[in-house]
Amino acid sequence: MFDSLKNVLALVDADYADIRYEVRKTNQVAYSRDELTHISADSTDGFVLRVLKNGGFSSVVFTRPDDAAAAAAKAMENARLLAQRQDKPVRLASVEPVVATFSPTLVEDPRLISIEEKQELVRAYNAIPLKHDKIVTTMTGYTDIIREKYFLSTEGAQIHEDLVTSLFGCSITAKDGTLTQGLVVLGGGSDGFQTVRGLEASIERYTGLAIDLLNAEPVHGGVYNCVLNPSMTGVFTHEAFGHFSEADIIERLPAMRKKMYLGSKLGSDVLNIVDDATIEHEVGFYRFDDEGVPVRRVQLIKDGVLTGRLHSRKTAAEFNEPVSGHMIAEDHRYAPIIRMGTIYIEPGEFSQEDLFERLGDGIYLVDKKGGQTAGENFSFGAMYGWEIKNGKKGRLLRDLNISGNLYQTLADISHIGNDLEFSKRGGCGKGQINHRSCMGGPHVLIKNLVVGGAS
Amino acid sequence: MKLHNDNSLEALLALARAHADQVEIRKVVTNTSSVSFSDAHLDEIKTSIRQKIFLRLLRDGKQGSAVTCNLIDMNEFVKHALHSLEGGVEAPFDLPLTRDLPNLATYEASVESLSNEAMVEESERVCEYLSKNTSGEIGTQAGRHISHMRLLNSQGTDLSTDTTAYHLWLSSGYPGGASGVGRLLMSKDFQPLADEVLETIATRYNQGDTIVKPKDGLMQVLFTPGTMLTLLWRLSIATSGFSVYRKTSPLLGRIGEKIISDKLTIYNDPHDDTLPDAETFDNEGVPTRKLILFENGVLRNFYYDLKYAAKCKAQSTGNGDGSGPVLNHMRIEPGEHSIEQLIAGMERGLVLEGAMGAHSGNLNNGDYSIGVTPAYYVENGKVVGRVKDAMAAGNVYETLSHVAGISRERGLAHMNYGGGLGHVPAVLCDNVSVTIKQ
Repeated sequence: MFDSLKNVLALVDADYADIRYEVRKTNQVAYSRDELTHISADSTDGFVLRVLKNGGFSSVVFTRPDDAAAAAAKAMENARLLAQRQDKPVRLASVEPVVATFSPTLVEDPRLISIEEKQELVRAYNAIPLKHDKIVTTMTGYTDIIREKYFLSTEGAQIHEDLVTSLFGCSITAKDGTLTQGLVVLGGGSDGFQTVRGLEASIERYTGLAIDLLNAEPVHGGVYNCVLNPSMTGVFTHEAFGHFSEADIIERLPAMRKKMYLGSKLGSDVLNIVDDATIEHEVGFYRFDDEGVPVRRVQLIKDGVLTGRLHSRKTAAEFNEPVSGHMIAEDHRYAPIIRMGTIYIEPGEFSQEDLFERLGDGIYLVDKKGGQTAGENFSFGAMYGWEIKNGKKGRLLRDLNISGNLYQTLADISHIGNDLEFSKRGGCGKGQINHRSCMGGPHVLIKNLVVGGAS
Repeated sequence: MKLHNDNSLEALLALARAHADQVEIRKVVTNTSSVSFSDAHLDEIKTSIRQKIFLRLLRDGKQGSAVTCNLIDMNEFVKHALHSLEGGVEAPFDLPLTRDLPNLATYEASVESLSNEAMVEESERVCEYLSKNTSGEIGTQAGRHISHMRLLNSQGTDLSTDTTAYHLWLSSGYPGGASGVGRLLMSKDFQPLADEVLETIATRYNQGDTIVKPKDGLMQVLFTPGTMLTLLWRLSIATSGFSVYRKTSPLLGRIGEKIISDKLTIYNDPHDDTLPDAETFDNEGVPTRKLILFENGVLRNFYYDLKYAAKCKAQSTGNGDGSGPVLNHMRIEPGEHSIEQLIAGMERGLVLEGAMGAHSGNLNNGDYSIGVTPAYYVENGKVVGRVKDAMAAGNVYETLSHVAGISRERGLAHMNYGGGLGHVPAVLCDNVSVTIKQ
């Protein structure tokens, strides 16, 4: 494979070029209600060529090997145009070229498990909620994605890395009259098929909750103090803060860039945030990014102070900060962009009971349900929650969406729990889907969150 | 662009036909280039030249599918689809024989020669205007798209279509907020951006220099075309044959019933070729047609693909994308007043320019709860300033039952992450619950 990639790189006359060829193999099984809706085993492939010439840095994606010459010519043309019209030339931070082959250690390799066995497991999971009358439908799916990546650069980097991801989701919908309520059970991971086994009890529990939500009260809109469970802490860390530790976003927002200099005090003293894609067995784990740089742990916030950022070679040079190995593509359809690996708030000292007690009156927000950011504003939902009165769980609540301002909210994190949990599957959609975006943290207490809802 | 009309698809059809009752093959070849500016500076130029081939086999009422980018080994590709077929996904329908479709104007040859340089120049003009007339952080993306699609099946259907598109997204964002005033425009060929659009963006942006914190509660909300996505998304889920089959649609069994305001007529019109991506057939080869979803507020139709039509004992409405029913050409009948006239008639409320979190919440139920990015507060017909840290929440059926006005201008609303566009007016609704952090 590398020989044919060398031939493509030989077609460009550039200061730097790299090419990634990737085969993406997927196995998918999906059920909805009592019916199998999809089953397939597919293999697709393609190339991503990136070229730097006179400070112009461009990428071309192509699928047919026959299009290599046209793609190389287009990449050069785009790079030349960028060099002419950009206000400043792109530089790439220097790195030691890596020559390596890496395959992850898998507990139970999904490639060795038949699609029939995968189908049977999904069928059995899907049947659990359907035993209950109030459950009107389900969508239960398993997907494994195997990325076989071959990366070659004109600097001499030559890396073959395989990434094996298992993804599971079971969405459960309960209905009463015209009211529907839904919950999703998620599973999966980066180290094998065993990550999607043994989910029966979770599915059973969420089925009961979905039915209970039919009688839950919609939250009243207002400003509340809230305790977030680890899933919610994860999505808050990822959405509200994490995206602004991605240097390709900050680079283009001068006002935020000015505010988010290393050393600036962004959060309360108790706040520590890390991105660490080197934690094996978590879904965010990988060894090399899609520009051939080894990933490293980055302390993003220490004692409330901004201490690090996630970089590409381009942004590391632009910010004059060290490379971090965070350039990730979804697959062969895309050039890489900066992505979080495994981002989390480091645990503190409080038990869950302590946090409820300190909360007094407020809302306990449980399990993420979508999220989005727009600059310093963020918004995300919780699948469900509880009203907390005098530190005790009260009524079950539904329709929970919160929004807030990044800086204000980081400063409003007042207490951090002593537990730590990570998400089992990704799905961040910053232009491309990152199936391995991993996020987590402990329970945390945040003051003054805006919760949308009826007046 | 080369049409890639090689004979390999016929060979693949013949090979697959030996193993199945019916066979469908769809090949899509795309060539796109885009030019992005960030903070009013040229940032990225990207090109993508791709193809994808989809294969579907039907045998004994079951279906199997496979997808690939390169037809390197036809036998292996068919084997993948056969393996999928063994799984037993139901397919209680026949593939259609479709021919003699009307001609739509979907292709403009001039896009083939639209250079990246020309898009850089247009973007520079836009950035220069917005930099001069607003204090915002300016972002743009211009792109050209050329695609060729061929669909053939064993019933004798052999259809192809060539499509071109040009898009320009532009935005002036409030510093630090990344919320701002933006527009997405699409056309079949390159169209220089009209000055009025630039002027509208600048005017609205500058109305937001003052931050206000009005008292929250129930108030009017003007959903601009871009933010209508929040409401249309929920309607598109509720009217899908998939939701009908799964019994999750709150509109189940309510055809003929008045659901929303009689001011609203909402339909899907794939034959509207004034915009890109008009189509005479869907991804299953079924002819498309204009389909009314709500006529003066009354629910008229659900939309179906082949499979869910068969399951619900209905007919495909030509809305199949290969994996389920989709709505890609939503329209709302425009009203008589301009957006500015609607604002002038507002006593107290918000003009919602950006919505965050349109995808979260109980979509089946029609509930929404969105952050404003941004919204403008209107009092006695005048925009008095910009609102931050606020959420608007409600239920789409409730909200659209209280329509106070519909604009005559229409704009684009992205329907979902997978693409698909609505071209819709702004809609002014009464009594939306708004929470504002004081």
